[in-house]
Amino acid sequence: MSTPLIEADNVGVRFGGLVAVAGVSLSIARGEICCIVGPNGAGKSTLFNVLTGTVKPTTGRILIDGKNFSGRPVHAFARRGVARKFQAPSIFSSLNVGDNLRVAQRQGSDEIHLGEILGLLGFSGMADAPAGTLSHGQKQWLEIGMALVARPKVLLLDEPTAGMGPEETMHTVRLIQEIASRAAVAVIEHDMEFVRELGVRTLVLHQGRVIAEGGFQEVADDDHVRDVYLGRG
Amino acid sequence: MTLQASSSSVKATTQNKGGLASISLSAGLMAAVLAYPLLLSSYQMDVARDALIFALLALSLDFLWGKAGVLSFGQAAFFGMGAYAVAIVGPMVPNDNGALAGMVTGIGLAVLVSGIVGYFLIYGGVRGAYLTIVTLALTLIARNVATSWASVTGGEAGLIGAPPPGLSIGGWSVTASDSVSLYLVVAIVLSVTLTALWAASRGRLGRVLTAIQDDEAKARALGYDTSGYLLAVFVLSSGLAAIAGGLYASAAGYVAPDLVGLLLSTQAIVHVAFGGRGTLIGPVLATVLVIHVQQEVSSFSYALWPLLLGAFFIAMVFLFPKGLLPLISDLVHRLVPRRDRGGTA
Ligand SMILES: Nc1ncnc2c1ncn2[C@@H]1O[C@H](COP(=O)(O)OP(=O)(O)O)[C@@H](O)[C@H]1O
Ligand SMILES: [Mg+2]
Repeated sequence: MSTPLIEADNVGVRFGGLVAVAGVSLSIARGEICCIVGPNGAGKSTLFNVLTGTVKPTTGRILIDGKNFSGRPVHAFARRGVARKFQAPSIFSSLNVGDNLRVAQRQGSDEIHLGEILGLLGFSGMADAPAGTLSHGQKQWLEIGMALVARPKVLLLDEPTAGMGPEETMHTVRLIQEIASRAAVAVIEHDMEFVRELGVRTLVLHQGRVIAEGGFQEVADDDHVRDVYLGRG
Repeated sequence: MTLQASSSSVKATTQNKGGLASISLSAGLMAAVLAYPLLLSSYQMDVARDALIFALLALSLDFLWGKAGVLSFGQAAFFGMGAYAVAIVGPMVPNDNGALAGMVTGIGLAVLVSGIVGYFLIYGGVRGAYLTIVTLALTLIARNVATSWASVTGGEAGLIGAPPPGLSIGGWSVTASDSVSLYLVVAIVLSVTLTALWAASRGRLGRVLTAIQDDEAKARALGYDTSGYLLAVFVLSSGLAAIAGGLYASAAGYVAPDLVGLLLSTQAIVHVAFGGRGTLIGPVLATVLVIHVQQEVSSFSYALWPLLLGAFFIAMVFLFPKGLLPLISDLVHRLVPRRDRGGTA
């Protein structure tokens, strides 16, 4: 068995008295896509924050390529090939679309690759458009593009379809399927249609714990999951 | 959504089609502003020289505040380090190298202090208003040192005998002691600095700094050591302020603690805000303009100037908060009909 690209080993995060993540283990292998679902406040974004170094875990370790990264600065995670899209679209609105991608392409410049990413996003010919003028959905895609253009090993997407209509959501599904050939992907998602459509290994987080894990159907059929999450949604 | 940007290839960079025209316009304007005082009396040339030195100080601040988003009241402290180093170290050095030695000492001191203070603050996560307040303290401390450490700094009276800019190698030596050569030295240093900062801000560095100003957490998540960038800009800006201070002492021949106070820092901030934060050349032109007008008004009535300045800045905040240069380019854009600019019309 090969070492996973990224691994959370029994990770716990406390904010004061609040336990946001309580002993989660998760590993993502090369070429894999996985989905993380769970109700609001389940600790999904916090788990991503730990996987990208933004939040230091209170307990447990983060391993990247088998190396312990706990306590390292955020930029060290990124340089090791961990890219993320934040929950709230974060792009640089003072820069144009092309320069957003150029900034994201931290090392050197590869205009050919950049053009390819623009094409993949459906942004051909829009390199000079100010990023601040993009629609909400386009901002989400641009941010995915910014993650991709650095040729990451692992891409963590936090609610990439938030605020999107059904058509935009389907475009995003296709985009993620495209990306899977380039990097391992973990997606946090609320939209069950999206998760069903993607049809990959799914983890259900509830109150900071993984309460179920498996294929989408398997997880969707789980009684406990129905109780805490699907039943309400 | 009307995003055509039809003619844009992937290769096209930040700068638009008007780029070349506005660059040559700025360069021409700058050359005219620099050359004009050479036609004046030597007294007026000295005044213009000091204006250029303060323009250099404003420029150093604009690189930090405009390009990296860090508002600093510390420029006067670093200016003071440069000025006092030339006045203290300068006379100890033989031949004509005193000013240069003092300048190097001042720059070194400014780099050291800004490096240490900046390291702990910036890597400690201090940003925004908190960072600004610490820079304010730096200037207050510097002022205090200048007045209280009288045995070295001359206290309230300051120091005379700062040597003029010069260089001597072996038997050969040159000094700039008359008004024209002093003016030229300052003008050259300012032009070189302005060009270098402008060139540095155009490419990758400018892009990264803009990104950090927009959303530092995102820039960090993309793999940038954003604290490192901010620290580097802070140190460079402090070093430039020290150069301005060194030039001032060297040209004037003396330093006094009055120079190193909060007023000087505030003036630099005002000049940057007036000229247009982040435009680099704007603050330079604004400094020259403000000092020129100040001269005129003060010769007419001494009390009028502070009043006028206050009223002007209140008006500015309402009428053109982004500063003079953006106002002018805005007007130009409005007057000149735009060809297809690929925007939201
Ligand atoms: N920086 C923080 N400080 C304090 N509490 C936080 C912080 N980040 C998240 N939390 C809390 O941790 C819990 C999990 O949040 P989050 O990971 O954002 O949930 P999810 O993304 O699953 O909706 C929530 O109760 C949230 O309020
Ligand atoms: Mg979340």
